[in-house]
Amino acid sequence: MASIVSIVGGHGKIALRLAALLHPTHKVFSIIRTADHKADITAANATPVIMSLEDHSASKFTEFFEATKTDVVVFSAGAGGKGGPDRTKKVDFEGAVKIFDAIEGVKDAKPRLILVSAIDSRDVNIVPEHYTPEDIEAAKKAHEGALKNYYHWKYQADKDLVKRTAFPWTILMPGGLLDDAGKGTANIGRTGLTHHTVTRDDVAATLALLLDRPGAAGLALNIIGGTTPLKESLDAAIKERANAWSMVRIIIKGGVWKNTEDEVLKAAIAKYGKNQWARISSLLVRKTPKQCKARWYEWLDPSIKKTEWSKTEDEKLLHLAKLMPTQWRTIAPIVGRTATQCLERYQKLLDEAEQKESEELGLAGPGDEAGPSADDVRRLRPGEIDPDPETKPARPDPIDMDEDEKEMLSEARARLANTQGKKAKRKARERQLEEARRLAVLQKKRELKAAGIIMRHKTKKKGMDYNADIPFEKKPAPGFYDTADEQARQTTAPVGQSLRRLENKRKPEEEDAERKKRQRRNADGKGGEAPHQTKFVAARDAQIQKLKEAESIGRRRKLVLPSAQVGETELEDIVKIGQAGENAKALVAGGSEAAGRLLSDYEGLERAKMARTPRTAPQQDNIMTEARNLRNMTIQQTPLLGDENTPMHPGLGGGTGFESATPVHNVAFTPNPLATPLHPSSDAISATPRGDPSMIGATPLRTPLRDNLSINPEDQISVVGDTPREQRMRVNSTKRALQAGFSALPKPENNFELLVPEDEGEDESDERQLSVEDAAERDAKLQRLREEQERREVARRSQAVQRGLPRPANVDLDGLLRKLKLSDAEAIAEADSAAHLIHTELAQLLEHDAIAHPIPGTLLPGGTRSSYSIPEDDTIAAAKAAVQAEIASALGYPTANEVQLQEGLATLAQQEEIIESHSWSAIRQQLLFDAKTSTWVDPEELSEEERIAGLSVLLNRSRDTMASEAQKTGKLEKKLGVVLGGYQARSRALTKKISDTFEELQRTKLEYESFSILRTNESATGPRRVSALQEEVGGLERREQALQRRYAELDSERRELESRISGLEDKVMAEAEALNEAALAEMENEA
Amino acid sequence: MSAMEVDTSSASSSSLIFDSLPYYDNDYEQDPSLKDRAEKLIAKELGKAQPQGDLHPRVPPPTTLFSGNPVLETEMKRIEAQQPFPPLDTLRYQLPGPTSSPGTQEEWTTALNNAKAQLEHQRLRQTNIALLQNYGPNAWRIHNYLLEATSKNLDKSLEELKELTVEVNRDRKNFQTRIGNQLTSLETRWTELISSVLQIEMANVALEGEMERLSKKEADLAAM
Repeated sequence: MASIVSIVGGHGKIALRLAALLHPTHKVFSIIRTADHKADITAANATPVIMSLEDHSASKFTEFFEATKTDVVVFSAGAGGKGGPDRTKKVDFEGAVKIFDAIEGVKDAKPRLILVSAIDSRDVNIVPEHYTPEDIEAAKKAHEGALKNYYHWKYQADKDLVKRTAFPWTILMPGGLLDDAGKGTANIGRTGLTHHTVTRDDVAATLALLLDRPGAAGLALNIIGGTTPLKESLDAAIKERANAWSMVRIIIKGGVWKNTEDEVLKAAIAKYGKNQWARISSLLVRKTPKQCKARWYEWLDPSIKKTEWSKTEDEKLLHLAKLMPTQWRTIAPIVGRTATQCLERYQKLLDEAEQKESEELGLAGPGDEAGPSADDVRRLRPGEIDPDPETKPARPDPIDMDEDEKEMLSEARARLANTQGKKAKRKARERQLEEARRLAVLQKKRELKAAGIIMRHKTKKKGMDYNADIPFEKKPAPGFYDTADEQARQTTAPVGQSLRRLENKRKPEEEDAERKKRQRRNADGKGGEAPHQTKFVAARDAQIQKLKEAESIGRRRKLVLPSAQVGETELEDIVKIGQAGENAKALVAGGSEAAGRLLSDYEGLERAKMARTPRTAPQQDNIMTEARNLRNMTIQQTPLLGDENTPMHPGLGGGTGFESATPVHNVAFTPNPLATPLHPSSDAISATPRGDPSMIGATPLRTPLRDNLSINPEDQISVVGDTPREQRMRVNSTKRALQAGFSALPKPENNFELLVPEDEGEDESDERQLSVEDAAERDAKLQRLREEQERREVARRSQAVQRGLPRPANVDLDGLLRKLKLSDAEAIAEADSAAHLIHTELAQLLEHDAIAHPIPGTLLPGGTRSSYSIPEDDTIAAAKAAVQAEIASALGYPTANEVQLQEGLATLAQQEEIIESHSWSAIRQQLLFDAKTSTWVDPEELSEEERIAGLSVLLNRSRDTMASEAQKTGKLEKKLGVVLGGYQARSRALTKKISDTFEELQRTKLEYESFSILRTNESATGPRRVSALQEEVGGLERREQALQRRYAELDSERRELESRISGLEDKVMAEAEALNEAALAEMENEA
Repeated sequence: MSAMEVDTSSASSSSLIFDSLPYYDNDYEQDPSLKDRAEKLIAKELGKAQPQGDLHPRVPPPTTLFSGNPVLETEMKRIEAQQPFPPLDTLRYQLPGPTSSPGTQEEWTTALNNAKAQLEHQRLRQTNIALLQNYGPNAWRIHNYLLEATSKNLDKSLEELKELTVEVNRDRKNFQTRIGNQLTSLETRWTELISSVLQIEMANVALEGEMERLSKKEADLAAM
């Protein structure tokens, strides 16, 4: 029940009436401009307050409202047309706004506002749908009349008020005001303009009623004259929420995001990008650009992590929150979450810390009756408005959507699906033109090619294409890894591609075809715009997906894997233990059972089979500790009070790891059950030195290994259970091991063996020359020796071979010998053995030659060795000398040397007569061929038949030779024909041409001579013909002249004659006349 | 008035010289029958010019070829008689044996000798072929080159001669055209004169008649 009412513009007629109405039940402050009106106010039983809307600031009014604890402010001030348009603005608009601000400024419970406006205060351009034509006419008159300015500023004030949500308000818009007595009835709510007068009494009464009706908040009510009682009418209007501005819907933008809105927003961003938020928000009726942007960056952006917070993130968050308190926008990108997420998480962590603390302190209360948790406290209660709905999940779509929502959706769909903006169309047209041009060029090229003109593609112009190339580009040095795959991936923005191409890589024609198909399908089946929608959504989603992908690729980070828990050294240790144990066992394998028992069991693997997974060392919850610390710091009072320091919870290791610039965090280390803790120092550098009880990473209180055999001698950790005796033992064993080691070294042996190179005494003397023989000289010497050898070799050959005389290819040694004996049958007796020896020697020499120097036709296989031994050079020389001497003595010059002897022989031969029949050529002719023996023999030796047979054999041989030769020759000729054929043909052609040309030459010569003669002839006859003709013409001319003369003579004669005749005639005539006259005179006379 | 008449007239004046101007006279075109007549005349003239027994004293007496060589003489006779060349005896190239079946030694020897001769011939052939293989192509090439040169020379001289002929004909044409122009103008003049002479003669005759009439009239008048 509102009891304190402040009326702004308290001296107004309605205000006075209202004050009077409210007198007993309410306390009324009437704010007036001047003290002059005080009396009137007090008369109306109200408290006058003098404050000017024009001069006082909003804060003054706020102070006033606060001081009076006003429940309701009624604004009924107005310039009343006094003071011109400026004053109207100052009071009706600026004054009103000042009051709004003032009410907003009130700290505690804000008062309600009832604004008295005027009927038909609205946007001039929008006509409410409930207006009748008469109404519209009337409204037009009113708005264009004297009240235009008034209406304008009233509307501005209303508009300003409507936006405010901080305090409840109601607008009352009375019609034409009358001073008549109140009727108690009116028409309130959405009304027309006809019969729009209303009494001031009724308006004041309505205002009084409105004071008690907070449900009227947010309404703009008309009030005009009517028949319904005021109260009834008002309540009905409030119930129906009969807003006078129902057409001009005033929507307070914001509120929970709906699924449809999210989808529209995503699609719109895909189309318009992340900069044109105003444009995007124009698609969403209930959201402002700011809200759209917030929605995207706080919730919809695919890069936003909505997963659970990881420990690392928590650590980072707390650390950063400590470093940069409340700077969530700065912290957010470092943590990798949004600012709101960070804030919420932070609060949650602190809440948890508080809860834990209260638990520890036993503040939770007994049993189940725990107080409301922090979550419960923060949760929105029904009726509360979510302060930032952008960060909340979307509300799912109801099955039956609102009408306006559907409208919005369809509009957004239409707008987003329309890819054919002006620019897109222009681009399409340009593309088509380009295509057409390309085709034209192609066609031209083809035609030119067909016509034999080949157009080369012009090489690109010189210089740099800055669109394609990068100036001064220097490629980075290739790294270790093959990045070809990543480079191939397209992550660049799709510059230079049309939107259409991006959406679906199809050509316009194809798209058209597709559309037609779709339309056909629609006609058949479901119809409506469902397929349209699917296509649109699919395309958007695909694109969004692609963008996301590109972004995620661009931002991909290095993969960081935790280091292996079982390190290399540890693995080695395991192996070593196993081996060492085995070895130790093997040492005592032959011994007794008891010895074996003494050994520790090193079979690690055996044990590992049964081993339980050891417990990880208890982890300290650093985060919780830090959160509690932070909480303590936040609830701490000012240090000026001189209280104790803020109690901090130290971490186990003395701190929470948040002391330095970045938080330190340890990875929980699963201990390896197989490894003895051999090298703790090498395992973890960061680990605390041994002896520290809080050694992380080692299973505490492990059963100590009895390492009696000192297999791991360097292990000097004072394991739990190490007794002094064992320590002593270890020292001793170390000592012993050293001693044993030294004793095991091999004994030094001082026996040396000297190796001296072997003696080479003999050679030394030979090689003691001044210098080594020159290589060239030596080579020349060797060459000479070789040549000498060869020469001797050649000289040893028989004369037949040396001179290349004919010799048999095959030698039948026995046959030859026999024949020689036969032919010299008589001589044998005398010269007995000498001749025989010569013959044998000759035959053997022949055979040797045939073998050693074979000639074509030999039947001997290659590599046959001659059995003939060549006689010594000396022997041959002696023989030759003997022969020489013999010849010389025979000739009678025993002292003659070889040359002289030869000369002598030659002269002798010349002197001798050559007997033809004794020559070889004559004898050769007589020889006949023996077919049987294949030899040439004396004709006497053969019978007639044998002779003929020999001849026929020879003839046949000749025929064979002839045949093969002819064939060979034929082939050669054919080849020659091929080689020379071309030349011959050419020669023939040339010959023919020459003969033809010659014939023609003759003909032409003849012609030439004939024509020459003709010319000579013509040169003579031509002039003659001319002269003859000239003569004739001359004769004719003369004759003509003669005739002309004759004619002239005749003519003159004729003229003479004529004159004479005319003279005669005149005479005759005169005579006749005279006669006539005479006759006449006679006649006259006679008469 | 045609060239033919001119010819006849000039022919009558100077018996052997004919004075046609072929580039000017176009009687053939005007009267195609003239061509036939001309050809007939030519044929008649050619018929008259058949070789007669008595040759020009300057013509040398016929020479008898190969009078000392009976082989060539007979060959010449054979060619004059247009007898085909007797086929070559190719029998010996087949190296036949003796005709009688056992054959005497003499016959065998002859056959063998023949065979040797043929073999020698074959060797010669081979030698020639080898020579031809070595030097043939080049020799042919040189031969062809010479032929080509000759042909070229001939072509050149032919061309020159043709040019000369054309030159002569061009001269003739120019000359005749010039003369022809004179002739044409003269002919025109001649025609005009003829007609004017005729007209004047007619006019004279008419005038004489007039004169006669007038003199008679005068006489009449005088008589009156």
